[in-house]
Amino acid sequence: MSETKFVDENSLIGIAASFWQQYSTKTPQKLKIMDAFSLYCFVLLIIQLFYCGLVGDFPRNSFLSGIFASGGALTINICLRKQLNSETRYMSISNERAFWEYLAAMIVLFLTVINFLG
Amino acid sequence: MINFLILILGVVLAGTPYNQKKVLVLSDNPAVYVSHSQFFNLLSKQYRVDYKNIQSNTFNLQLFGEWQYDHLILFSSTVDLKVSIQELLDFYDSGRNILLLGSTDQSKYFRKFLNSFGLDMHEYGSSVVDYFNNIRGNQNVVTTSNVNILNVDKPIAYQGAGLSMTPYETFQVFGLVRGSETAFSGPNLSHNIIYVGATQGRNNARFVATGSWEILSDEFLNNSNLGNQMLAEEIIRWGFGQSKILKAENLIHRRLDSDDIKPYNYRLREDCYFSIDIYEWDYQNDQWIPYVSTDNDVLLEFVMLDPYYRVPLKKGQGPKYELSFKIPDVYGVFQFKINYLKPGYTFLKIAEKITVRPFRHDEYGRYLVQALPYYFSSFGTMAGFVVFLIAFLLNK
Repeated sequence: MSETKFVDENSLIGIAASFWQQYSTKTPQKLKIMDAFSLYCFVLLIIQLFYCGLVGDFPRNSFLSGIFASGGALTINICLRKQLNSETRYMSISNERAFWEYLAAMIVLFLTVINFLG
Repeated sequence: MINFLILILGVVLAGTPYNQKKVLVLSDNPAVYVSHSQFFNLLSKQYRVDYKNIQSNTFNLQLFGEWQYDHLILFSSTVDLKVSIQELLDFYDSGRNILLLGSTDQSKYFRKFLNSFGLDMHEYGSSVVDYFNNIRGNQNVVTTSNVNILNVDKPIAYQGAGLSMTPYETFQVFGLVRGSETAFSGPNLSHNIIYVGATQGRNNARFVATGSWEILSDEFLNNSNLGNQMLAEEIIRWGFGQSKILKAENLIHRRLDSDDIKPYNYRLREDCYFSIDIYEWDYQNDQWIPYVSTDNDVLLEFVMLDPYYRVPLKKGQGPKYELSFKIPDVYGVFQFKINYLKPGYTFLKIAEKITVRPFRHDEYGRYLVQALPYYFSSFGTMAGFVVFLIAFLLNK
């Protein structure tokens, strides 16, 4: 479809705008949900780091477990997203198998986090 | 029946002279047995004494690897002993005590022997002179009241050469009887003379040396204005290991609130309790009695490369010295150390090793307000994950 271009495509704002347009039209709904969760985890991570920068990491174990929870969930989510997209797939396993591995990894992550939370 | 007889024999002989320690007296001049008869009387009351000439071949300090005598008294002479200095030092190293009465004309052998103990005698032919503290105007027979460690309260008379200590500070060499300030000796007019010096080795063997024979002779011992009689008794007592002997045993360390002695390890910031029993030998009653330290000076060190605590132990019931303290905020291998070097008493050196471990991961504080963001983020991640699952799986 042809659209009228109000911004210059080569500037930074243009790149962002065209990225956003491509992203919202081309990606399937499931991957968008996954991306939303990843963003949520990332925001939690940033908030924790900001808090640690303010107050310091006194209960070291709790700090580690909070960071690990959000950062680890983020990483595992990204891995699954890579797996589900046919262009960036890195192992030749079926989607269901990838999803089961994702669940197993998340369970181990949450067990570790609760053990270390203190 | 035979066992019973042997038992009876043992009980009878236990109190007799067969159980006493043996002292060897070596001297060159048989006149000393007459002039020091009172001193030898005091000695024979508690020990079995062997009198031998320095030059004789009839005694063996050591026979088939076993020491034949428990203590040694040497009257020095101008000739060397037939026993080597090294053998005398081995005698001392084995824990046996030596008393040396020197004279100003003694041979190099005895001077060298004296030097091994950190003491030194003044030059050949010198003698201590004092114009103010002397007996009947004779400036060579000097008196002093400067007595440490021994329990003597009258002035001591002395005639002969003086001793001096090593110039650096050691905790082992003592001046038991020191000269008064107005005494001097030798062509260099040296002051701070020691009349009776002593060295206590790290194995707690005692060596007492003096520079004259006359200090223990009958002439001074019979004089009731002088303290030489008490000095002779005290030298025998202290020098031969009867008085001021300490013993430490029954070291206990435990957590303050538990009864398990010597647990496997301690944790940071735990309360710890330490106690030790210190006894002193009571020579009058032949038993160990609890030691009473006069100025609260038995120090406990809690050391890992540096002392983290150095605190005096509190006197508890009876012989107990105890302390409770908080283990510091450092983990590692620590030692309880007691280094008690009171002059005149046996050296107490005790070290006991313990380990202090850091916190386990479930021993940290729980539900801290400071960690709320981390709690929220962990459970928030899990909640978000559940929401994501629902949305992901129910999406067509």
